[in-house]
Amino acid sequence: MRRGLWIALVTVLGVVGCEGSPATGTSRNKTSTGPITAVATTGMVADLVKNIGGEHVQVTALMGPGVDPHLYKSSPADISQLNRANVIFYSGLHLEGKLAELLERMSAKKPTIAVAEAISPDKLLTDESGAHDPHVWFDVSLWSEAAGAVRDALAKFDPEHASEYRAACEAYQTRLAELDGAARSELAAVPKDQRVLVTAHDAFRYFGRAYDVEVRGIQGISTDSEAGVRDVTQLVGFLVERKIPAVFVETSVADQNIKSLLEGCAARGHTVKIGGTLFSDAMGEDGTLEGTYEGMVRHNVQTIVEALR
Amino acid sequence: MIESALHALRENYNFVVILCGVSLLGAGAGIVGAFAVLRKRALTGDALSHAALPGVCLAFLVLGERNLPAMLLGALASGILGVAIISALVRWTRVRDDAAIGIILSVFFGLGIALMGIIQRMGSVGNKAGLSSFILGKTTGITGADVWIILASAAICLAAIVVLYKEFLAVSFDADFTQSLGWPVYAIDLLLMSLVAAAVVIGLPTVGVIMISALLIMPGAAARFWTDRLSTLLVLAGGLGFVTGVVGTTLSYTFDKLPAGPVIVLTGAALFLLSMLLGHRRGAIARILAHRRFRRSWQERQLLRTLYELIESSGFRQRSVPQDDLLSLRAWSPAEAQKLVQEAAVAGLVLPLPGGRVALTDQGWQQALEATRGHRLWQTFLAEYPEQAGSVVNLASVSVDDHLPPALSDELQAKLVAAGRWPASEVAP
Amino acid sequence: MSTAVASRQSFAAPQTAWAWNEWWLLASYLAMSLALVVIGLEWVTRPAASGVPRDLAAPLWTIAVGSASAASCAILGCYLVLRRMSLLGDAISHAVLPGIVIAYLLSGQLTGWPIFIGALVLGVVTAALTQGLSSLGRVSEDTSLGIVFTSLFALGVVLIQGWVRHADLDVDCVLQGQIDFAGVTQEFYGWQISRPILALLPTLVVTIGFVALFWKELKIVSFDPALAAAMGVRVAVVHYLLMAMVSVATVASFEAVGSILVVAMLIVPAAAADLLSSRLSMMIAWAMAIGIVSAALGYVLGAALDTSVAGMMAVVAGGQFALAVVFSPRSGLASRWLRNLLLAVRITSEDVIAGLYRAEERDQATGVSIELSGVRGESTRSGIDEHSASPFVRWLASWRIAHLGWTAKDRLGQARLTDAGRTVARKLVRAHRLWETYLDTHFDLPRDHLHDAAERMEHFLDPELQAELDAELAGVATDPHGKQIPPADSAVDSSSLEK
Repeated sequence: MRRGLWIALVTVLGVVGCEGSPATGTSRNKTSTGPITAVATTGMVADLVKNIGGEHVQVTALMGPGVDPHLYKSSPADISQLNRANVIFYSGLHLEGKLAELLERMSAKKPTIAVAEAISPDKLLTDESGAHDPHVWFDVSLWSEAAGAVRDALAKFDPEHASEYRAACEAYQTRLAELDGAARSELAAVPKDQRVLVTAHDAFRYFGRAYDVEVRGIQGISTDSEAGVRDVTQLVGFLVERKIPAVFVETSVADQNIKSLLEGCAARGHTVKIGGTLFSDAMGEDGTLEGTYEGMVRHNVQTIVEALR
Repeated sequence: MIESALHALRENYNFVVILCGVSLLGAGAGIVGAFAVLRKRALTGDALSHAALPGVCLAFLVLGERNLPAMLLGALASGILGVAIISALVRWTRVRDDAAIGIILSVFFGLGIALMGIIQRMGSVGNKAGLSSFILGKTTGITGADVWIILASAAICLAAIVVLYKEFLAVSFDADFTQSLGWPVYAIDLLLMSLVAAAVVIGLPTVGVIMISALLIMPGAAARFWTDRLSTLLVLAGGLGFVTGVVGTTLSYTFDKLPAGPVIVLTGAALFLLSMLLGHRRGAIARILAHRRFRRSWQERQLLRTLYELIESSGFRQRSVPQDDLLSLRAWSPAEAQKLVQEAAVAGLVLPLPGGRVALTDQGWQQALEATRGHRLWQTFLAEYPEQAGSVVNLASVSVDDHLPPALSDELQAKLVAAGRWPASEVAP
Repeated sequence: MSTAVASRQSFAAPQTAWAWNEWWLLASYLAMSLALVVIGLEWVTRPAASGVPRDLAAPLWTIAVGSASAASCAILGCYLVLRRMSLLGDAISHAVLPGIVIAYLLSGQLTGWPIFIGALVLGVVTAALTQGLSSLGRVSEDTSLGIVFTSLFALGVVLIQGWVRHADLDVDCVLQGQIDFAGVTQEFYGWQISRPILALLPTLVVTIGFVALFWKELKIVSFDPALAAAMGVRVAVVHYLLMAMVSVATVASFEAVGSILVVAMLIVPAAAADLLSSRLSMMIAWAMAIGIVSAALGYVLGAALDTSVAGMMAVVAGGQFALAVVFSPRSGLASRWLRNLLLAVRITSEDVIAGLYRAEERDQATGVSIELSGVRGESTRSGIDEHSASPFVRWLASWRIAHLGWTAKDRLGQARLTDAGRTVARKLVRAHRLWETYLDTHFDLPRDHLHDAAERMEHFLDPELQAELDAELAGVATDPHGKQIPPADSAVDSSSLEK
């Protein structure tokens, strides 16, 4: 009797196994018409692909608006999207953590492109142990360089429309260059010693470098990291000394930590206000201005300029 | 003078606020957590901080925006539901505390993650970024308002403990017995665990998951090494929690790059380790020393008894025996025997004689008699009443008389005297 | 004698018979769940549009990977639950942080082997420190677990803040995989397979091999640590091996499927299985079954609601635990309630006919009758407390009496004892009076205390025991109250009553 049971079990498992093996993921189909199905991980990457691919590419973002890439949880629908996609774009430099490892392995089956990894390494910031900081989109000129990777990938995958991709990319890069210049000049209007960006976590290093803004974060980049009491009192001292009028909260980080700074400054007779909410790891809702990369950058720059001026 | 102190206070406003908040929280959580530790539910804090997630998600779904008080209420609601289930499982099924806690932790957290997944894919429901960590604060973010909230909640918890002290005491030490007295064990237990839930919900937005878990466990567990009385234990746990907060915060203030919460946790761990080693009730060093003392006196008694037996077998002709004869009765190495004899000689019990002989001093003789009597009484007792050995125990007990009823001991003695095996002082050579 | 009686009260069925019932229960539970899963999969994988092929590879791979991880966690979880260390998995999920930080500092890599090995080492360290602390300090395992994991995590944060402030290092992101990723296959020596299975299948095999090899030692360690300690070194070694095994399996599963699933699968299936069986082998089988069903059904629900599959797997496991709490044949609340109800019905119905018998005896006639609706009044007279039986129980009891043909209605519509009913009642009264007599002769109890004890015992004295009692009492004919003890033999009885 017991053996019967085992045989039944083994048979069931066998059936399951057999059903599993012959099916394979979708492979690219050159004869198919209609738009290329592309999947992007973050909203920023999806926006990039949308702008370059135009009508020939249908792109979906796995991480919807407001979803922090560190805390993204996948679902079965996401996996079937990945399996069905013709091309996959992701940010790279470990921004997506384990998901990026999966995408790297998928490159044997279909093109998967890490857009930020196309930026020349000498322009990237590194951490103490030599790994690159992945938050490249805060520097518009770097993001513009990443656009080139999307263009090349699409042109290679779909040579028929290669010229259109190149044209679209050029146009987009021109717009980004304008945006970059505008951001630079707007920020330059803020006096040099007031040009300080204080946030809860230290994600704005590229922004600081590109637009000559001094950047101070309370805690490190990792969500697990935490500040010391001395770090906070020193930061308060810094704010008071330099008479910085505002600090900023981020969409994806709790704002309790920033409030203690305000109190600390108030106790020393210097009023600091919360200058506004910056988009850091995720963009705004679809359909709003902040739902596009350009809108997001503008929002951040305007918020900072208005608060610090 | 006062002016300069106030100035210093203002200069270091954040340090003062964090110090007050953390030490008060440490004291409160220490006291409440001591009960959890006693009830073998030390990990309730950890479980509840995970179990809060579905409540947080539901509050977000209802309100459609990130609102800290509402989400904390959601966390409190799902936390109390969690402890209610834990207490019910322990009370009415054979599921044990740790498994019940683990089930609530993993299933509630799983539910929370599933809800998060649903929220993640919903269209416009406000800003949902960082939802799971939204209610989690960092120690350095404690504000003045937080300190007042912590103070008020600590006062309420303390009041509840003072009022219901007897009930909590009974439930913590013997829930089954309390049940048999007809007390509402489930209700008392639930109230006690709700205090823990309240501590967690106050702790999450101010100091975060790991630190509130640690503050609930460490002071109570450390205090346990110093006392067996609940009242002393609670005071000690509160005190240790307070000290943990003060020392940890000061360390983080004094040195660069020392994150506040983790340093406080590590301070608590250090206090626990110190208590574990030094605690005079149950501390490891006290225990090892007691064990060693006991072992030494036991070996000494063995040596004396062996000497007596050797003298007895020689027909009480003389009070000294060759030291090598010791080895024939006991599994001692020559070196061990030598060491024992030396130690006993220092204590004035034996006298090493020239020619490798050992003699008993008068004091040694008296103690040898006593040791042999005790040993033989015990032997006879085991032979006569083997089934009762378990209820009296302590094979290596110092004195059998303390453990056997006098009547029984007299009866056994009579047996030994009849067999001629009762060591009597008058046969001394 | 009295101990003999007490021990007979446990209605222990032969061990093997119950074991077979358990296997069948398990098999039918698996079959039912499988059917549910197949139906659910059919629905969630239905093609969005006609002509699109049904994609079964991703769901089946996800379920397979989930099952493999759930099964190995469930096996090890059984030992953890027995050893009261079920939260080890959760503790490890936090405590690996310093391992990851150090591995990153040494290797400069955020992916791959260094991180995994760092986590692995810290997993083993967590288990060893917990054991060491609880044996050195004599504190309970949960306390030392709590102290160890919070301290290790704190150490990790100190390391981050001091040395790698600008690295994006958190456990969620760097170490933990997600179960859904199993749905993406890749080429492996010509086969399309899902990569996590390469880690999890060996883990499962090693786990099973380990448990099989050290079956006896593990059993002793889990059920009787004191005895294990008395038995010497090898058992201690096995215990440490077990903890190391749990750490390795846990970290390997974190990497493959993420911590939510692992923490849940280490605790919930084992706790549910503990309610379902008291034998270790059966418990492990149940735990594996529950783990696998959680994985499969969790996937279906996660896909249906389009949300986190790991979260849903934990929820499904919790649901099964709730089912076990309520419906477990051994200790479930529902089965306990049902058993009590059946017993109450039997006792009530027996009390009623015993009361009728006594009334007949008192009136020296066979014609005493009651109305069935009057069961309540009769029960009172026969000695049971009026409040001890609810109306529902009394209603069931009267139905049972009628159904068994113990009473029949006379012309006036009143119930009287039939011959069959009288035989049963006589046996009960005999048991009652034998027990009273026995208690009276052997214990120094006041006479008015005898009745209540006998009222309970009469329902549990089987013929064998009655014979023993009878022999012991050497043919005493009347009980302490002076009433005749009805003889066992029915033939004598009816004549003696009707004279």
